[in-house]
Amino acid sequence: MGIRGRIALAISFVTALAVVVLGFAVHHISGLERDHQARSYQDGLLSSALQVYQRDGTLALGAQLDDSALPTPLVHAAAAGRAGTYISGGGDPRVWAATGVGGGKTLSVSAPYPERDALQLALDKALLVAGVVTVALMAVVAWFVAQSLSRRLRRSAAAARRIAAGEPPDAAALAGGGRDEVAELGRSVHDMAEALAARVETERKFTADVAHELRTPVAGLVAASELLPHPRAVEMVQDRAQTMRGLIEDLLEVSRLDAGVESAQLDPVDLPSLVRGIVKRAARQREVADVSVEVVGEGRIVSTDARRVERILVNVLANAAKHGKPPIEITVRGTSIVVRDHGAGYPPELVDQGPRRFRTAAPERGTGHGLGLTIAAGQAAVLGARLRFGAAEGGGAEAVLELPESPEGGAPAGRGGSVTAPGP
Amino acid sequence: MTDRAETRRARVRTVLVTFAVVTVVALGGVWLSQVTDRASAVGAAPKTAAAQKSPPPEIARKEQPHGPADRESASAELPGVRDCGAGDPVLEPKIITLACADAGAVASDIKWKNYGAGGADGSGVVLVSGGAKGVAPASFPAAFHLYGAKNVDGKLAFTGLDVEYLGATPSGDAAETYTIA
Repeated sequence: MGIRGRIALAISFVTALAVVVLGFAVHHISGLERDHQARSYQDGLLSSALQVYQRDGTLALGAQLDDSALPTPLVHAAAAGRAGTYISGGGDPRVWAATGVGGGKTLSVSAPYPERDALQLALDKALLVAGVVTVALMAVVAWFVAQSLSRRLRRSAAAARRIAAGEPPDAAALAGGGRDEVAELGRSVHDMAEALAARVETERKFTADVAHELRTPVAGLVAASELLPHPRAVEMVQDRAQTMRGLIEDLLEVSRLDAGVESAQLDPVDLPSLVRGIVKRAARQREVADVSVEVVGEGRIVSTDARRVERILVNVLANAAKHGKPPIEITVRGTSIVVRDHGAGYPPELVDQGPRRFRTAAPERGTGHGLGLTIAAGQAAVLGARLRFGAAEGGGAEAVLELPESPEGGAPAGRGGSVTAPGP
Repeated sequence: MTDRAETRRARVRTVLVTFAVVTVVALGGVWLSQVTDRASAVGAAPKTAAAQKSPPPEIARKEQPHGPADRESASAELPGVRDCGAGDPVLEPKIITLACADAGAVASDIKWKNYGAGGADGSGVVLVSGGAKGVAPASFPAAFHLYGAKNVDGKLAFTGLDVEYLGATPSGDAAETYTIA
């Protein structure tokens, strides 16, 4: 049940409780007052009858002397010389007043006293109707009040979701007018989103700046190393410098993906051919060997950015070759590409949260800087594709790249694409 | 620290509210349970008790601090009221029987504003028996006027009584005239 229903229910319940308590109290008080009036009236009658009796010895106002039906408690009270009133129950409920008049005689008056009189029944009915109407009215009012509250909360939640999806904080939706708690919550979420966005932007800029600043000296280093005299030293320096250049290029790519400035160039490509070509190039350039490609069903022509698909697949294959164990199997089924190795599998953290830069896997997947899969996920997001990491049946890691079905559906959406692969 | 302090305060508030609710419900229960006892108990009858203690008018006159000569001269000057034509005339009676056949209507609690030889004016209530039905109003505020002072059986007494009802009436007539003495 939503907050709207809960508030309406709580207010209705409290109102109903108040109505019931008040109803009982009013009913009870009216009953007491009725008793009091009946007794008081009989007392007045008896008082006059007593005066007439004392003066003339006659019975006035329907008074009885030594009435045989007089209730026992009144008989005792009169015998003790006290005047009293009494309400008797039974088949013939009556209200009595009696007093001793000397000589052991008792003067009494009485009148019928029905358990429920018409006035009290009417009062009960009026209380019941008023109570039901009040509760219904309060439920409606509470519903509307709660609806306004709920609507504002939902608007704030939607704005927060949009921020999570990558949109900039919407000041109008979050930090709108009002000075109550909901407005305060909205303002807090807005401020938090602003602060986080600023911090992320600062970090992204820092990464981009560092990579950019390192690029030039490393390029110079690579060129200069070729001039070194000793062949072994040349080889070592060149190898390290190439690694560093690769890392810097990766960092720059991650930075561009973070900034959301990347966009896909869509062209129709035959997916099985594309995959086979990528595998061949990977075997040649990245030394990813022992890779088999299987196409299930008919090969599809998809509208996608071949360069980015290659970037994704090569990174996944490189990861499998480096951290997993051969053979590596690629299965192309429709628009999805499954890459499977026979190693220890992806660490649970990566499966749950997706790849993160510089967060390398558990020891079973060796060492690395964690940028390859981060870039793969970022490129998949640019393509509007899904890239999932999981465990293969029978052990080993399994990465599934699902390209969008239609060109329209697969249009790259930059940062706001319908991509579930975690961003870098 | 703040969160913890607020939680403690909220807990204290909850305990206080629970205590208040339970107390109110318990008191309400006690109050309601006393209804039956109150209904079946013998209640006080203050008017009857007062009438019981106050002596009859004849005795009152005897106890007046005036001498016998004063009283006799006063009775000789002012007419009294013979209730239902019986007994001695009573001066400034507090109660007069209106329906003498069954004594079903009585003028009661009469307070006299003027009481003279030519007439007397006062106010009180007329009580009617039989129509009570427990709580139905059966006492009717009325103004009384005594007139027609005559010598009855050697004593001066009023012979007529006008009753003018000030609100509701027992029979529908706003004014009634009774022959007394």
